[in-house]
Amino acid sequence: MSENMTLLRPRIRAGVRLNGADAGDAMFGEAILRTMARMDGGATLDDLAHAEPALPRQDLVSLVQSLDHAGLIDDDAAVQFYTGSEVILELEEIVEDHCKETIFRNPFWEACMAAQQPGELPEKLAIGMVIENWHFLFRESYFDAPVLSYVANTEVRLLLNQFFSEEYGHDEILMRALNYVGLSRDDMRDAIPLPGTMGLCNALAHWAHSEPLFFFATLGLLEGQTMKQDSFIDACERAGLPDGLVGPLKIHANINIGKAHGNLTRAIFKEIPVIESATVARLKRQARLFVELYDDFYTGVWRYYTSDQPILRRVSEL
Amino acid sequence: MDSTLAGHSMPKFRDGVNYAFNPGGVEIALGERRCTFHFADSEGPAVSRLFEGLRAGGQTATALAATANEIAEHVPHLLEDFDGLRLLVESDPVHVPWACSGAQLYREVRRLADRTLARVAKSAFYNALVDGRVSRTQLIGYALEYYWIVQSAPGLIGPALATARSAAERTLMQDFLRSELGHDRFLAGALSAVGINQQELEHHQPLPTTLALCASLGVYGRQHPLSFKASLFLFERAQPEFIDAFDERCKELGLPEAFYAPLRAHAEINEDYDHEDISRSLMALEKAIDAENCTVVKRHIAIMLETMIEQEHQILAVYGRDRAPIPRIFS
Repeated sequence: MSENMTLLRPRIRAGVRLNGADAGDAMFGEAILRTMARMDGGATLDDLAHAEPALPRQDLVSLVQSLDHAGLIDDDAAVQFYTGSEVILELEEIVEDHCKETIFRNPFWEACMAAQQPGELPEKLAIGMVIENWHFLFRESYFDAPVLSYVANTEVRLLLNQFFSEEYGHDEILMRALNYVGLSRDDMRDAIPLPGTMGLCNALAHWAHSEPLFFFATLGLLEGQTMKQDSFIDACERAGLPDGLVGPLKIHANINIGKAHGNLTRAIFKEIPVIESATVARLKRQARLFVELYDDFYTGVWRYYTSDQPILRRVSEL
Repeated sequence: MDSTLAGHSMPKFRDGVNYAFNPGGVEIALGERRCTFHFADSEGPAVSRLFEGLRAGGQTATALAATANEIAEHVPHLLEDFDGLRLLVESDPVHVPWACSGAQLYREVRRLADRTLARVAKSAFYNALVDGRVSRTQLIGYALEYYWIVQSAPGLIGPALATARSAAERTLMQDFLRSELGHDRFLAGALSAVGINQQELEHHQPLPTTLALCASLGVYGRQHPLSFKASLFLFERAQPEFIDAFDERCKELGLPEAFYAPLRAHAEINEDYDHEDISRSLMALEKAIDAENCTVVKRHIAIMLETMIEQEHQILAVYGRDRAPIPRIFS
């Protein structure tokens, strides 16, 4: 064992009695006894070494490790950590900065923002967005299921179960819009999502399985944190797209806004009392990648549904 | 879910928030971000008191509103806006969390394991071995249950690899997994020496406690990696007295050496690889663990130990019955 695994502020456990024994070298034995008597949780290893210069550092480390292996000492060193509510603010800032460089400049969103008059947003693009959104919602259990059992925090688990119960079935709302444009349930069972859509779904499922804290951090952006209205729906309405297509989207968006799903990430992180610094750094490192994946999703929608390709990619036509 | 952002019970300005009062307004800055809000001159003192309260922290929204009574009705909305702008953190001492290092939690886990084991004195199976009460069927039953755990192990450990957080953790987990591979073949050879073939091993149904142990370890590997890491030592404890007694009883009952020698060899592999230290090494990589997770780990370890103790009773009971099916194959 290396020294860096040694206890930082060793404390001899209550009930452990120190008695002198024949250690061969009486002076060495006394130095050991004095050192152990100083292990009260206040002194660091350096303090102990300083107080007993006759005791070689290597022997001190060995003494602490031996006492530890024998289960006789605890470590009273303060543990450094961050709270979830601090960490999420920093993550939001990183995500927002990356969004400014990517999603906010994505051609899909630029087309939505530019649409001011009827006919200015291609209907095929809007239908395509609904199709890919349906694929995403249809697969929501892929990435929500792994965290429904979140064992690490009861309050977070309850929030996630409530969220999933409120999200469940939203694909069916969008199915009404798809039905309006002539796509049946059977058509959609035959349909293939765009790679960017499936990539996003599976990346979220991967994070939900292996890095749940990061998955929680993504929910704010995905669920439209601080969003009071849906820019895509607004664009559809300005472009005069039919209510049969847009109406179900509004129902879906209003449920999310009404249930404050955009606040889920903040609500979750508020309940997480401890995050170690290495985890904070890891969460921050991945933020850019998530934004890129989300940006790729919109780019995929833009490219495919502004092309001459058929509206639905079908397994039966592979 | 609340329709507003998850508010703080005692909001406080985040570190780095600065503000400057100007005539009729206040400019708030955090890094490069700046925002300003305006108020009537008569409201200035109340806004100033609100900001002082937010800088100090430790007051509820209601208390803050009371100190700034001239603008009390606006305080909830202001706090919501500040929260949206990422200017606030929690300062309620009730919410100030506590954390424990993984190394310290592991010390406590080892102690609770020692206390639990001390309550049952010696293992039921060990006592029966020493007293010469274990039958040939029970010895083979023990080996079958051991085989089942060993053949499951890579599948239980594998998913936990995906949760490794650092190069050090990946290395530990991968080496541990690698050291567990192929042991099922080793033990299958032992069981073939007493007439149990590979097909029978495939169809053997473990005892409920054996399945519960494997399922628990596997589920913790997927759902609560901390419990997984803390539990591994339970499966890797060196028990030389037990192995000696097992060998002795096998010899007394005339079981072939090809049956009991591989079991001893497998136990010695675990000792050679210092497997018992895997939990200590993995837990030492955890720098900060909150109170609930400490409780969850201790609960899981206690249940795992209880199940292990019960498993020995179950092996003795089930494989001690007259005409007990061995291996346990049900059509």
